[in-house]
Amino acid sequence: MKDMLTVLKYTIKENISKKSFIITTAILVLLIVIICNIPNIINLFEDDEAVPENAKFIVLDDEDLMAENLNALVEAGKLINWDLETEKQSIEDAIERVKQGEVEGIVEILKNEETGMIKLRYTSNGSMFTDDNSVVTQFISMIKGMQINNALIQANVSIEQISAINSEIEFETKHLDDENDNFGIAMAASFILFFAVYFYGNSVAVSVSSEKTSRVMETLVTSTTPRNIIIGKTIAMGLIGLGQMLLLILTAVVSYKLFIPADLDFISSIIGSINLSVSSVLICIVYFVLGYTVYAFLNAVTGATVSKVEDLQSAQTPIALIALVSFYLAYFTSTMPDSSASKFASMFPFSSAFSMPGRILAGGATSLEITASIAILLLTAVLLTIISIKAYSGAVLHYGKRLNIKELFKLSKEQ
Amino acid sequence: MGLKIDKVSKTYGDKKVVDSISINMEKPGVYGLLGANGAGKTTTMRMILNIIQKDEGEITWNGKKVCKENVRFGYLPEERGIYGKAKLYDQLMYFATLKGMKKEDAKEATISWCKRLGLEEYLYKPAEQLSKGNQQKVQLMIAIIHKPELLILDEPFSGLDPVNTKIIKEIIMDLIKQGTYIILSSHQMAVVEEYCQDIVMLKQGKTVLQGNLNEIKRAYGRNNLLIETYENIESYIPNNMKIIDKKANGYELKIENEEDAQKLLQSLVQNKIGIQKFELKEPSLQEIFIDKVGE
Repeated sequence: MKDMLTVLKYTIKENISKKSFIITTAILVLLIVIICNIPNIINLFEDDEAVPENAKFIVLDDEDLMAENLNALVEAGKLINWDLETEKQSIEDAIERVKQGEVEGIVEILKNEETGMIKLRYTSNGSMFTDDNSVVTQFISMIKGMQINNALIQANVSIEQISAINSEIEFETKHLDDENDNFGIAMAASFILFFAVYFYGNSVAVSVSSEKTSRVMETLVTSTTPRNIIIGKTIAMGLIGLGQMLLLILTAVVSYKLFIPADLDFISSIIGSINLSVSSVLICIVYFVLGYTVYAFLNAVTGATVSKVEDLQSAQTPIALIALVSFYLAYFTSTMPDSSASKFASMFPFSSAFSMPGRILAGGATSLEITASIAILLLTAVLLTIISIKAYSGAVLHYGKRLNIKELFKLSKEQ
Repeated sequence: MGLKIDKVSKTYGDKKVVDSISINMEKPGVYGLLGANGAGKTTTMRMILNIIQKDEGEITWNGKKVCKENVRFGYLPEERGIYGKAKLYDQLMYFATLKGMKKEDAKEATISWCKRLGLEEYLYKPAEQLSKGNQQKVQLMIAIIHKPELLILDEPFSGLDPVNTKIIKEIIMDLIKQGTYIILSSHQMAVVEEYCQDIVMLKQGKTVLQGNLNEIKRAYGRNNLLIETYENIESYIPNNMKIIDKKANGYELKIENEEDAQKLLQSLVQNKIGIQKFELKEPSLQEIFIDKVGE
């Protein structure tokens, strides 16, 4: 036990001080922060589009087309914190003031000679890329509102009725497809779990085979038992994986809270539909740990069957195939959580870690299903661990041709 | 007491790589394990350390199984291997702790061994920066850092320069003085002759020669004749003697009995041949090795 802890500590220390690990983690953290800032970055470029607050505009109504309504316009502007200056002045003076940045822009109220209707001309500091739509739309709606009100007053409509017409109508949207949106979360969960289980499991194989290649193994197995080495190493890699994942998830959560505007409907609707509770997060961690155990021990044995790191990839092909088929099974069945294929995927020990967490997060698994799936996975993990320790102990000092399953079985039997 | 290996065998497939080997080491010292490549030396060593399971026989230390709980053992494998990227200090501490040392003791031993072997400046550098000879010293350090009672050295001098060979020889001498039981395998017969009281010689897994080195040599008889002279004496050498080496300063001959040698000496003296040295010798281990193991 003490030796196992020593192996565990050393493996963690060795791996997290690796430059490649530090750089990868840093890049992933940065990536998450950047992704969470995409709405802000987009806003940065779209700032001009927003209706400016506390802005000052000059309204030129040289022909007195608005007449007494001009003051009403000033009042309406105040409601949205706009300061509208209506004093008569030459357009040249006004333009000069816009250029100096004293005012946001100039609204000229003109008359369309053909139709006799009011026409607006807006002048501002922007270029052809500047989008003034929101300002112009605001003016149009204010002036139009006034015209409508005037018409209503002339038609003897009461003030109460006018204000009722003008009052904002509340609304909310409901999408009938929303219930099915959850499969997105299930897909994402199966992808993350697959990536974590497969990637960190793979690093166990690399670590074992590099120990064999560098021949440290012989010194190592005379210092402690192969059992301590394989268990210590596997747990260490799992902890590193878990730690790195939690760091990334934490980064994502913090970035989400800090950088994503709360009113971004698209994201908050996704987050809102995740069945995120302490127990569901814990169950996800359990699936990661068990799924990882299954794949990591298989990988450790594979790492022990080769003498050179170059041979590792071809030796890993069977495991990679199992993992990929299981992942696709989980991934594609996540769109139809009630199908029997999906139920199979969440029970089958090689795919349940990729399939079940998504179903749980999307809220589509019964507690009986969860219990059964965990029990099957746990049993497989324990069984594979026992077999792997034997196989590893047998293969660890074998050098030369890569071991096939038959030879591996024979060597394990001798242990 | 000590190390007892009793009729141990190991078979891989249909090949018996170790065939009923017995070694009995009752007191500290060096036991030589000799044999050509593929004779079964490394397999025997691995079986002693319990990292390969034996098929038959018994291996005990003071009557108990050889394992970490019953005996402190160290192993210097023939194939050198250390963690290239890890700092020297980190990996020495790692192995010392695995071998059951307390952290403080491990630290002290690590630093003092590095000082003794001149590796102090590399303590906090990755091991891959060390030269091959220095890496070998590190490997030896890993094998002996926890003061083992039983030490197994597989080719400890291969690839070392004379300076490093001397340093490691001194360390081995110290370990012998401290009462360590050492099993040593080497192709360098001179090294074995220097250290080993007892040897076992293996050929394709079978014991072809075993026992006290001096007794083995004596049993072979003094059938080497060394004559140092600057004159040509070939015409005096009888037909039943064979010249095995001809040097600028003399001859080495294989003789059948000591009487023939005395007769040759008499005839050389009668013919007034100048002789610097006339010596009857036991065969060297090298010759015995070639005689027993060579085809």
